[in-house]
Amino acid sequence: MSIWSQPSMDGQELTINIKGRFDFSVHQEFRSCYENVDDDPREYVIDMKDTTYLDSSALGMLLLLRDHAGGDKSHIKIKNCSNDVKKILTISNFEQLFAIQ
Amino acid sequence: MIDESGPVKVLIADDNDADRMILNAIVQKQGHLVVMARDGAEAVDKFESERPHIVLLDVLMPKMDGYEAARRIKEIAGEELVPIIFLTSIKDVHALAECLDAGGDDFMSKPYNRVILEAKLKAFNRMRGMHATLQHQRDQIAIHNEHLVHEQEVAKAVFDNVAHLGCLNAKNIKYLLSPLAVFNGDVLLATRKPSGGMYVLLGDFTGHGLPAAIGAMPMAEIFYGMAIKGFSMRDILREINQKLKNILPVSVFCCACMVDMDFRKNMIKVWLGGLPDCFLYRAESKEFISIGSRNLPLGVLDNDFFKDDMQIFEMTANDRLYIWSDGIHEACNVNQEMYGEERLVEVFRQAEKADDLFDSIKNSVTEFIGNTERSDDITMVEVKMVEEEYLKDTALIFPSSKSDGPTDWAVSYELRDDTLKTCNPLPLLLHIIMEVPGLHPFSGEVYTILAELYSNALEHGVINLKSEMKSTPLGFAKYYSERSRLLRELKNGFVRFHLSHKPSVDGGNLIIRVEDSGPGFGYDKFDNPEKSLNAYCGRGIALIQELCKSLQFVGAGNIVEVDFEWKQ
Amino acid sequence: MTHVDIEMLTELKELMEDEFKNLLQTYLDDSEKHVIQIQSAINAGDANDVRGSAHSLKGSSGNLGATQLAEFCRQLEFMGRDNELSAAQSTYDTMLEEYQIVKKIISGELMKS
Repeated sequence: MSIWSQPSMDGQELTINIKGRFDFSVHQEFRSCYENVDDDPREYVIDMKDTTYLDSSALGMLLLLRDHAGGDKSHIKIKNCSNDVKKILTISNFEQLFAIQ
Repeated sequence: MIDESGPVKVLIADDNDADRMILNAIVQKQGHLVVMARDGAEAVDKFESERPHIVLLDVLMPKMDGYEAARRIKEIAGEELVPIIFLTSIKDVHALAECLDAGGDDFMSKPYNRVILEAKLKAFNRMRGMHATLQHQRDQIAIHNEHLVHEQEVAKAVFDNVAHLGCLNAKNIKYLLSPLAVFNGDVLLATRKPSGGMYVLLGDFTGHGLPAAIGAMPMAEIFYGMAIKGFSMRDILREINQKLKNILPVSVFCCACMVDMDFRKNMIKVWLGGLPDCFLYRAESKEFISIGSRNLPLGVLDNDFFKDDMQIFEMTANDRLYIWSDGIHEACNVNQEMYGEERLVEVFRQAEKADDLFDSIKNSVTEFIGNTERSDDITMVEVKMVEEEYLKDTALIFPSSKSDGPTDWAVSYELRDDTLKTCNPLPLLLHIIMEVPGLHPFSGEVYTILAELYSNALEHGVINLKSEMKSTPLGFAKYYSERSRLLRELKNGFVRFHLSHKPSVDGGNLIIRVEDSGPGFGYDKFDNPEKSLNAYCGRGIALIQELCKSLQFVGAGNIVEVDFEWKQ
Repeated sequence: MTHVDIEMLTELKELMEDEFKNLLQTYLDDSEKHVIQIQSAINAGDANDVRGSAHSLKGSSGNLGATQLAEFCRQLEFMGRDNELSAAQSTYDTMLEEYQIVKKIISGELMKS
C-alpha cells in the first residue's frame, strides 16, 4: 500500500503518508484514506517524505481533500516535500491554499 | 455466447466402418451428439451443413485426406474455434507435424481409450467456451473503442468550431500543438484585439481524454467572445476562472498563461497561473528573463479570491516570449530522465539567432527523448513583438452587421470612483455604437479611439499621471505601479462620455466627447502633432488625429471631442 | 503370444452393448475386403493402395485387440508410404496367416454372443 493514514490519539489530526509516485493511479487509495475515518479531524497533515513525484492530477486530488476538509476553512499542512515536489506545488501557487512546510 | 454445459456436436470422420462404430459409441455414451462421415469430402460437407463443435478426423481417407479436410474446415470455421483431433498414431513424427500444420489441435491413437477421449472432449469444449468469451469481449472492446474514437472525433469537431485557430497563423507566432492536443488537456488560443493588439492563451487542464477537453470549450468560447467585444485581459481571465470553477469538478482545473500584446506601446502584460516559467528573450542583447507563476491555476478559487496579478514588460521589436505546458519539462528519455528546465535554459544560453530559437528548442527536446512520435505531446508557443502593420493579414474580422438599427441618436454615460477602479466601460460603449448599421467594419478604429480617449482621461486626467514617466524602462514599470496605487486611492473622480451619431448619405458622423475630473493641461502643444509623434508619450493622441476628421480640446483641456466620419 | 486381447474385447462388448455383434460382423466383412485389396495392390505394384488398405485394416484390428495383426498391417502401410514394395509379399503372407487366426477367434466370439 503506497498511501496510508494515521489519526492522532485524540482524533483531531489525520496524517496521510504518500509513498512513491503521487498520480492518478492512486486516487482511489488517497480518497479512501481520508473518507473512511471515524473521527472528523480538524487538521490534516500530508507527509511527503517518501513521495518521489507529483503530477497535476495529484494537485486535483489535494483540492478534493481541501474541499472535503471544509474548503476555505480547511487546515491542511503539507510537510517534508522534496525539492522537485515543492517546485510543482510552488509553480501552481498551492501555498495560497495549503500550509507547505 | 457458447453454452459449454449444453450437448456438444461431434463430427467423426473415418473410412473404416468398425472404427467409426466404436467412436460413435464412445462419444454418444458421454452424452454428445454425433455426426458421421466416411471420407474427407463428406466430412467437409457435413461440417458445413451440421456445424459440429469438435471434429475427430482420420488421416488417411479416400477422396480427400484428413489434412486437406482439416484445412477446409478451419477455413469455414473462420474465427470460431473448432478443435480438430486427428485419429493417428503419435509414433509417426512426420505425420504429426503435418497434422499440426493442417490446423490439428490434438491426436488420438488407436486403439481408442475411452477415458482419454472423454477428457479431451471436455477440455476442448471448455477451451471453446473460453475462446468464445474472449472473442465476445474482444468484439465488445472493439465496439467500445470505435464509439470512443467516434465520440472524440465529434468532440474534436465541436471544439474546432468553438476554438478554431484564431490568429495562430499570424506571422509573429510559432507554435507546437498536437492535432488532438485538446484530449491531452492542452489548449492554445490566439486572437487579435479590436484595438489592434493580440491575446494569446495557453492552457493545460488536469487529466486527459474527454474530461480534459470539456473545460476547453467554454474557455475558448469566452476567450474569443469577449476579446472581439473589447474586454480586457483581466475581465476575460475572471470570466474564464469563474466559469471553470462553476462547471468543473473540484479536482479539475486549468494551469494557464495569458498574454496581452500591445504592438503600439511595445508592451506585454502576462498572467501566469500554474504553468512553468515563461521566458522573455531579448533579440538584441541575447538576454532572457524568466517570468514565474504568481497565481493559482484557473478554476480553483471563486472570483472573490481570484488574483489577477499581471506582470508588465516592455518589449522591443523582435523580442520574443515563450510559453509552454509542462510537456517539455517532463518529456522523458529512454532512461526515464526528464528534460527539465536546466536543459531549456542551456538552449537559450547557446542561442545565436533569435529566429532559430524556436526550432532549437524543438530539436533539443526531440533529440533528448529520441522518439519523434512522443514529441506530439509538447505544447509550446513563441510570440514575437512586431510592428502592428506587419500583422495586417490577420486583423480581426467582425461578423457582418445588421441592415437596420439606430442611426440618429445621442447618449451620455458617466463613470464614478468605484466604476473607474474596477470596470472597463469600453465593451458596453462599443456595443452601443456598433448597433449602427454599416459601422461594423470600423469597429477596430472606433475601439482604438475610445480606448485611447479613455486611458488619456483616466491616466492623465482623473489620476493626473504624466506620460513622460514612461520614457525609460524603469519609469515604465513605475508608471504602472503608480497607476494602480492612485486608482485604489481615488476619490471624487469621474469620466463622462457623450456619444452622438448622425447619419449621412453613405455613412455617418460619430461624435465622441470625453470629459474627466482632472485639472486639464496645456493642450496647445498638440497644435503641432509632428513634435510629439516620435516621443514615447502622446502617440495616442496622434493616432486619434489620424483616424478622425477632427479633434479638439475644450475648456481647461479636460474635455476632448472627436468627429469620426465614416463612409460605407 | 495372444492373437486377440480378450480383455479389450470384453470392454468393447460393454461399450457397444447390442451393437457388439454388428461391430464384429462389420469387422469381418471389412477386413476380408481389405485383405483382398492389399494383395491385388501388391500385385499391381500400387504402393498408395497398399498404404490405404493396410492403414484401414491396422486401425480396426488395433481397436479389436488384434495387436499382432495391426503391427503387420503397420509394416505394410509404411512400405506403401515409402513406395518400397520389395518385401511386401512376404510380409503380406505373414500377415495373412495371423489374419486367419484372428478371423477364427472373432467368428467364435460372434457365434457366442
